[in-house]
Amino acid sequence: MTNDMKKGILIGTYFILTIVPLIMGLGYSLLYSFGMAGLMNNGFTFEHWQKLLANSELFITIGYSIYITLFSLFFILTFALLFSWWLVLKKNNYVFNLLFLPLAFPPLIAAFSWYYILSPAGIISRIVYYFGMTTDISDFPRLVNDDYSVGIILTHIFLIFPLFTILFIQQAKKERMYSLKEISFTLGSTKNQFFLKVFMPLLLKKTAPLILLYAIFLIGAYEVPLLLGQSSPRMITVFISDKMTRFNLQDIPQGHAMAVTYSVLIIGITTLFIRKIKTV
Amino acid sequence: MIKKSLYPILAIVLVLPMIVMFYLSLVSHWSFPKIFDVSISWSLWAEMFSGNSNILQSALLSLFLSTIIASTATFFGFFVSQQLSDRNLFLKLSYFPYLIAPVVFGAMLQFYFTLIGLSGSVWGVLLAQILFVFPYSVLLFSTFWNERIRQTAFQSMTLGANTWQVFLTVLLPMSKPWLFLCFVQCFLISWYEYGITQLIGVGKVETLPIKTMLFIKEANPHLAALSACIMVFPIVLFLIVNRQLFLKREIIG
Repeated sequence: MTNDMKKGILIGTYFILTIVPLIMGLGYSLLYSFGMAGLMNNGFTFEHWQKLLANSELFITIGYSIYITLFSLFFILTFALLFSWWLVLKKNNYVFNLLFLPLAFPPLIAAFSWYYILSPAGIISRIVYYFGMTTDISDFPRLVNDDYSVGIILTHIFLIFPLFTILFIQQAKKERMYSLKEISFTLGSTKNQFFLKVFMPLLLKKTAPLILLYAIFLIGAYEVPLLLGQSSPRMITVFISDKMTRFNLQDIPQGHAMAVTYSVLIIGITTLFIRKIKTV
Repeated sequence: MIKKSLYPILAIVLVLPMIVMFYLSLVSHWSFPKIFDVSISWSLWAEMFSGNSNILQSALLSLFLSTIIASTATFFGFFVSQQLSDRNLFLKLSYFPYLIAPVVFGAMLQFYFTLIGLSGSVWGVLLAQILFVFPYSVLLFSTFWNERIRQTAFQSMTLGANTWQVFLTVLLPMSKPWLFLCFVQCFLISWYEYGITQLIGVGKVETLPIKTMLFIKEANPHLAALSACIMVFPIVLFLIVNRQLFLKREIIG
């Protein structure tokens, strides 16, 4: 076998395992959403897309997913910046070592654990009751399956903020932040000025591709909203899996239409920023 | 002052989920408002190790799947990324299947798996997981094939080494840490995977995450916690030994 043949086989395998399934999946969903594939198909129709757009579920689902993503990211980055600012000059701080722990947690297990910490029958509620701050299980506020998705956002923070804290600390050391701080102070800047005008912008700019990547991961989060979210509104992924796996066959085309919308959105964002995305 | 009081709070937040998980696997009749006044026993753990519960079977199935998937993805990822190292556009295509949520990817592909009779089978889940673990492996190795590696290989060839010699005596020793890293990362992605396994396995392929979710849906937090412990504890031990490996998994992109 010549080198060119080997090369051809390897690149062919690559396409068969990466792009071909994606095109096939997307193609099938597209056909299904236009009534041209699947059990209930009656030929080409816009009906399923019209249904999806008419009951505003599409916009609510996308809007809700964006809300979860933005709020999660905002708190993740805020906490990560603050703790990295405090921890960057500490050597062998016990908290720094503990930051690695959530990296071993899959979203499913994190959601499960946080459910039993935050729910009205959970650990915090029991402690609060023990100290007499509540008198009944119903006195404790709903923090899971709640209107503002507090449980989902908190679990996302637990899962991702430690990673960004560690990365910010590493990046700050790489950028010789300590020397920059000394220079800034010599030139008369205050701690707050240095944090807001040097530390924060520099780290956010250097890790921007990774932040974008995590925004994409968060918008496609599944297990955490599945366990800690409400039945409505739902994240995009939960919406799609609900529509496609429930018994109502009439809903399946809408699930496929949403899958197409989501995939095109992700492919669009990735294509737009693909040059910026690289390993940090 | 605020800073110093925040450290213990943060430490509790980071450790609490693990403690809760372990605690739930030991207690029974955990009704509100009991916190500590509950019976603690190792009965669920003992039952599992005596072979009466099928959590260990799920763990073995997960281990089998993750090992095969990680080995395959690492092997092909290494050679494919070498071929793509000068084809940046082709390489970037790996991002698409990797960034689309596995559950959506699985939902779009479910029809084809049913068509070829792989839906609900272990081999179906294996193939489905490879479809998004493999792009990750290619992306990870793309950072290995830098100019220095290529120049070293080229110099070895100009000094008379053949392709096999270059591979065995130059590239393989240089890539050993990367191969290990890639294997571990791919193993972890597969070990923790829920969405695509649920859709393609249609609940019949009971890996550890599927089993855990099953217990959660049955409102059996104690068995769910036990299953979660089996899933997470070995990984935490590994993390303590080599924490940098975990960091690398999270920052690939």
